[in-house]
Amino acid sequence: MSENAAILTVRGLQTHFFTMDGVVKAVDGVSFAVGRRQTFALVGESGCGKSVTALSIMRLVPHPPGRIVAGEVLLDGTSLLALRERQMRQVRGAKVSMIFQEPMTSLNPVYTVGNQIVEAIRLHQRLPGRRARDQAVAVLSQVGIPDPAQRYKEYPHQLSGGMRQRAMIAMALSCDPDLLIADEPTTALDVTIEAQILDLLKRLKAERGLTIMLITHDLAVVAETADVVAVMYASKLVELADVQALFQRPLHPYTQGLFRSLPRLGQKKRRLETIPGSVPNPLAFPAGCKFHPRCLIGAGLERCQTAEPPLRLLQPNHYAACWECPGYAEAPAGDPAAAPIPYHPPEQNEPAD
Amino acid sequence: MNQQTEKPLLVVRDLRTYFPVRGRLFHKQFVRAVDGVSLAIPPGKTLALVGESGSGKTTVGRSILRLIPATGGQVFFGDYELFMLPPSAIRPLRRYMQMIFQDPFGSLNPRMTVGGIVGEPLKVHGLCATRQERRERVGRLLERVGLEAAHARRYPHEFSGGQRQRIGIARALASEPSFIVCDEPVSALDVSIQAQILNLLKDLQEEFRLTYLFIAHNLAVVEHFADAVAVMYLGKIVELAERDELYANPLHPYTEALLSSVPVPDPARRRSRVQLEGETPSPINPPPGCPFHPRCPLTRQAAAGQPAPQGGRAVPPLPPGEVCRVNVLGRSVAVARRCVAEAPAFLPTPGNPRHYHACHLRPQA
Repeated sequence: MSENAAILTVRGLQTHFFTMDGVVKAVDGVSFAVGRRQTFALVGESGCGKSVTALSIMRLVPHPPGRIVAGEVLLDGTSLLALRERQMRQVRGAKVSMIFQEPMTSLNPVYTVGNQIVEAIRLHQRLPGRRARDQAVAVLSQVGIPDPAQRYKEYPHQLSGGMRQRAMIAMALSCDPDLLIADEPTTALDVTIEAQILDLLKRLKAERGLTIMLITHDLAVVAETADVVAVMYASKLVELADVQALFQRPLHPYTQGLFRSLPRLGQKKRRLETIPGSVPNPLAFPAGCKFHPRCLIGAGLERCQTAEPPLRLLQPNHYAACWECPGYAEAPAGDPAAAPIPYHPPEQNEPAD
Repeated sequence: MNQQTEKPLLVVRDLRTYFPVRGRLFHKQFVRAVDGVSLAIPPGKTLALVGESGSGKTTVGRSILRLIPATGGQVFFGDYELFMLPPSAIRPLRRYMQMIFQDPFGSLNPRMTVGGIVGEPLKVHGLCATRQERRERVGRLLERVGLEAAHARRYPHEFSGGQRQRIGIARALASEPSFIVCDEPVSALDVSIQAQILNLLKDLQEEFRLTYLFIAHNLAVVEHFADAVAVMYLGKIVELAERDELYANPLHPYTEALLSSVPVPDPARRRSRVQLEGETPSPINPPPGCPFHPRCPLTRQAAAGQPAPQGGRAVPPLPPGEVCRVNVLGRSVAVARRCVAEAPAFLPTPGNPRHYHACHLRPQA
């Protein structure tokens, strides 16, 4: 059952930042499993802890002030948190790579693009310079950069935003990793370029059998690319399901609110529905369910104000953390890290009208 | 003639804003950030200006308010022609023309209290006789935008992004303007906050009969918010129509591409999109003829005599003499000769005098 095997398992991850104002629990007990060749999306608003989750997997959390205080991260059976830094460097790039939102700040401005890709290649493979160069040009060409031999010699500032993001992806893929973590890869890009980059990621996934973990705030991007979705709110997962189930029957009131407040093409409401209030301050999270002050259902309920609901398995392969979800009281706890949620594509794509 | 019922509050004619850039010696070069933009907004309505980064949409907003000196053109605000007025005459008019900025972090002075920020327009324009009166008005403004009067004593850093955007809105409202340029007012905000701010702007528009120029890149947001939409590409408006008409019947291939690039939040409808190759060219040296021709799927179809792709409408194939080849991204591509030779005029369509576009290959009146 290789289809059902997890490439990445995160269990009980807690990453805290020890600041002057107090301890910020940026990630507070997050568990999930990512299946091979899946696109797993971690969705949430700014400050919910989605990027820190990704940085924790890469072990790139800035320390101090941040520290992974508990949890387990298994990549292909290897426990990443137990590795020495030297061993972890062998993993980064070769087994798992990451691309960031702002390609300009993640590329080094004083080296050519080619130089930076060759550096990554030669860190992991013993290759003579010319072979490494050929490999870099090849990977630039694979990510759809026109005239790759010329671009190889150019500096990051000579590339446009979309080309820089392609160069970042080329660098991330240069050592053929199994898992690519993409943190808001299209947020800084224009829509027509965003469409190009999302298509590129889909193509690379199909061609290379890549697993993608996509960190984003954009539900539309999730709908277009993801197989399995985890919704994060205030440092915890509140819902986890395959993309069809989540978009058809969102269970958590936060997810439901997000969908309602989303402006959609072709649906002309004069007023959008809103989620009242704003995201809570991580130094002073509300007691009980962290969403209850903004929740249409739970705001006045005593249990929501006092006790925090854990993630439970409400339907097959569909987890949610809300006291008021139908069937929550009887639902088993389940273990979201035990096995990846399988993705079932819809029977037939409805023709676009 | 489909007469407009009301005289527009704002009319822009052939607005041009060029920025000098360093070129060779004695060869001054210009970025044509805005190159011949014309539009009109009736009172109490919203015109959305949509485009990608570098299209010049922000420069249009700032040129209209004379925050950036324009190179040419005319702007009529009510009965005033703004570019003809001396600075001393502009100042009292500024009260009626305000702006809301994209970045709620950079647009509020961190050393001023919220009360000072919101009260400043009142002070500058001498709208309150006493301090007490000003304090009361600031309190009412803050309450109107969903904050508390007591927040006046706090500083911007104590507020979240959405709350700061409310402060910026209160400041813009303070001088009782009739026209507000909203420059990407929600694009820096989280989804759950975006809807709150959009609804607030809509309510304020109805309450005070505000006229908005709404600058945005998100076509889904614009469809909820605008009465009319103008699409910009490389400093020019390529299509302008009432909202329902533009979304139902986009004519310019760039508008079509923009619409089909918007990701749809529905996993059951993953579509293939009309893809645009390449990226927006530099406005220093824009392509000749129609500036969109190197990326245009329509001119390629016309030149090849191909049927239209999914979703698009067909264009009649061109005779061989009307076709030429250009180099795009290192490849030779067949396009319509007209698209390279001459810039398209910005004219209405035959059936709808209020639907303007600038494309050689679509019918124009």
